[in-house]
Amino acid sequence: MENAKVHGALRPVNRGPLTCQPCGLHFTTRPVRCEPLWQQNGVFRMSEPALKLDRVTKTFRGVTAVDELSFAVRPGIIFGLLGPNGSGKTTTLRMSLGILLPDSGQVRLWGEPPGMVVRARAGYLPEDRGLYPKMRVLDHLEFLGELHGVPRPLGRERARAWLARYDAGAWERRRVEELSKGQQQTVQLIGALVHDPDLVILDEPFTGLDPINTEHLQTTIRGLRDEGKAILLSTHRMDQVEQLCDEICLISHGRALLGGPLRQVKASYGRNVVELVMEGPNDGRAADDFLAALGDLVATAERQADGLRMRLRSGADSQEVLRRALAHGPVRRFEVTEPSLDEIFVEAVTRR
Amino acid sequence: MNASSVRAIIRREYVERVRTKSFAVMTVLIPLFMAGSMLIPLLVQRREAGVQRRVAIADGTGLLIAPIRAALADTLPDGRPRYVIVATDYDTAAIAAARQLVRVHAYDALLVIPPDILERSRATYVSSGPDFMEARAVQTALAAEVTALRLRRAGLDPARIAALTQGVRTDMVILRGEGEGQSPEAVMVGTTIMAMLMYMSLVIYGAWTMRGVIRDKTMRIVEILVSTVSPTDLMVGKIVGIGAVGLTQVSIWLGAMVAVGVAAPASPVGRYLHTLSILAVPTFLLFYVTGFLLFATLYAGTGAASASEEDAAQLQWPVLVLLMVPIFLLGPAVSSPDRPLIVALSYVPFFAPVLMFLRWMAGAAGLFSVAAALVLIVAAALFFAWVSGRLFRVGILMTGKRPTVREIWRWVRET
Repeated sequence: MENAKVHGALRPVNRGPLTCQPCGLHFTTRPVRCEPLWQQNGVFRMSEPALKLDRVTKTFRGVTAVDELSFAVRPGIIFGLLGPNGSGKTTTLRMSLGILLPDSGQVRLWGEPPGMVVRARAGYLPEDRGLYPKMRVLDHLEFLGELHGVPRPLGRERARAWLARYDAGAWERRRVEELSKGQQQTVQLIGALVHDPDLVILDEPFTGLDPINTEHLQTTIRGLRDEGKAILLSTHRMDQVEQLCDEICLISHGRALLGGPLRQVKASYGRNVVELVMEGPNDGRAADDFLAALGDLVATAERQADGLRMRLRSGADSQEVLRRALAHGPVRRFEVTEPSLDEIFVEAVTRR
Repeated sequence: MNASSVRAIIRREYVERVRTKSFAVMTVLIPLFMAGSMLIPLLVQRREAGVQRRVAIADGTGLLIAPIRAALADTLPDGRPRYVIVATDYDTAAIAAARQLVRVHAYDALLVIPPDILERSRATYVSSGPDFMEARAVQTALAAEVTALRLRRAGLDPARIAALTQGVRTDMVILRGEGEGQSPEAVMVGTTIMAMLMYMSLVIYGAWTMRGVIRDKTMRIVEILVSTVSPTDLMVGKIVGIGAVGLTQVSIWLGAMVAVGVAAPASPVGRYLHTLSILAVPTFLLFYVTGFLLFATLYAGTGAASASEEDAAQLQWPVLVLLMVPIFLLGPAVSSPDRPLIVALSYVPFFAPVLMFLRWMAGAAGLFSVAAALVLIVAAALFFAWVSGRLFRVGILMTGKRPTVREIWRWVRET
């Protein structure tokens, strides 16, 4: 690492991990260049997780909010923490930042306990959004920067750059209370990024955003990932996760139900979903009769606009479904596919 | 301690508060209000003193009205007589008519002197309002003339008796401390004003600290703050920032006082200033700053333990009571600063900022006592900073229900 002065573009090797040719460093995801990462992270190794939780447990008055939870968030990764409401997502994020101390287990930021120095390298967008209403936008962003150790002129400059990226340059002299909810949310997001953090923690970042701002935020998050930052976001919206996340951890009642790279998680559930469209009516009694005939093969079934979407029991043969469907009537469309994250989510949560 | 973060919090608290209009308005209004509350009674009195009074006298003896008229012969500043004495017949109808005229403010008062006043010593004074100063002047004149009449009837010379029973007036000069060679009243009034300013500033900025802490919670900004700053640093930043605002305001007041005193040495402010030693202002600032640190930590802890401003209104009363005790003792502390109770209380950290300052100004406490009191205040401030720091650690993220006293106690012990 020490002699790693020249870095270049990263090239994929055999569709495996990316490698920085000059220094031979491997990347599990896709930062474009190695050099800026080296400058930002100093002696930290690229593969070292920005955040690591090791069997972390937190109890509030006898109720276990987080139970033996472990995961790691690496640089250049968008990590999704998923779970229903009240499953312990916010508590987990607060412990990651040292706001709450775990009852047992370990939290490590770049290998260190979450003290003030390493915490300043993290940016946090809490679920409860809050800004000082009387402050002017630019002053507020400058304050949030200084809070994280950014000199004020630099904080101003960066805040202006971010505001410009969001076409929000005109707001800088406005008071926070004069902005709309969505605009305030943008200011809050910039506030979490103005100190150029290496780890970005976003608690339910998409709530309350209109489609345009959602698109904007997704672009921003992907941009941060491509700069090599580690991103941890919590959400219960699966569509966002499918579009964004590289890795996920699904928790319920504070316990991890499943986790890992998104592709791998989906693959582990197998291609056990069948979409079927038959000639004639696909609803009403006819469909009910047909489903009853498939009873031993299908775990759950959902009626869609023009057909059926079925999750098969484990070990059930999809070709057997096709045979019985043909016996029942003409088949217009038959497709074996992998389950959506929504289905995995529901199944993982209800199975417990 | 994370220097940049704490500095950011201090700067924000300071700049955002000093910039507000309400800061400028309060800086001007509070001294005006205090000066007003002291000057308005004086002005009213002076204005009243320039008004002519019509007093009707129904003299049943027929002997007293002339000497009373002579006794009340003083004039107003414009040369008119202060009292217009109207003689009324001493009979039921005339007295009833005169009463009616008092009621409609044609007369300011009616003095009814019964014929047997020399024996019974009773008269009646009827007025439309409780103006005790006027009544006393008339009553004093009546009493003096009745006594003179009695003396004369006994064959004695009233003038000679008066000369023989002349009272003694003692001029008071205090030969110690700040007020040397000055009338004690001037020092007392000035010192009381300074103590009141200190008290008001402690109350206002102490409460601001508490509200600042609660606002951070209700505006949900606190989560971002404590993700970067330790709760203790957050508390220190808030107290120092808000304290600096209070100190700025108090310095403006003191600076204005000194400026007026220097520019116009003959004004009341100037004359008061000259009774003070050069140490008065630094001592005031020392007591103000340490006193603020003590009360701000108490208020900050109260804020951290409250979920809303309504909660805080209930939780803060012990702090308020501690603040108010010296104000109730202001009178005795100024007039008799050596009283054992006052001396003892002036060493209690909560009361020392005001009481020890008063005793020092009155010359009743030496430098050693002042230093001891300051040390005690700082020690108490440090202790409560420790307690409040623990409350901060637990209470700062809590925005739900108000904790019970038992829970707060547990936080302090276990955190």
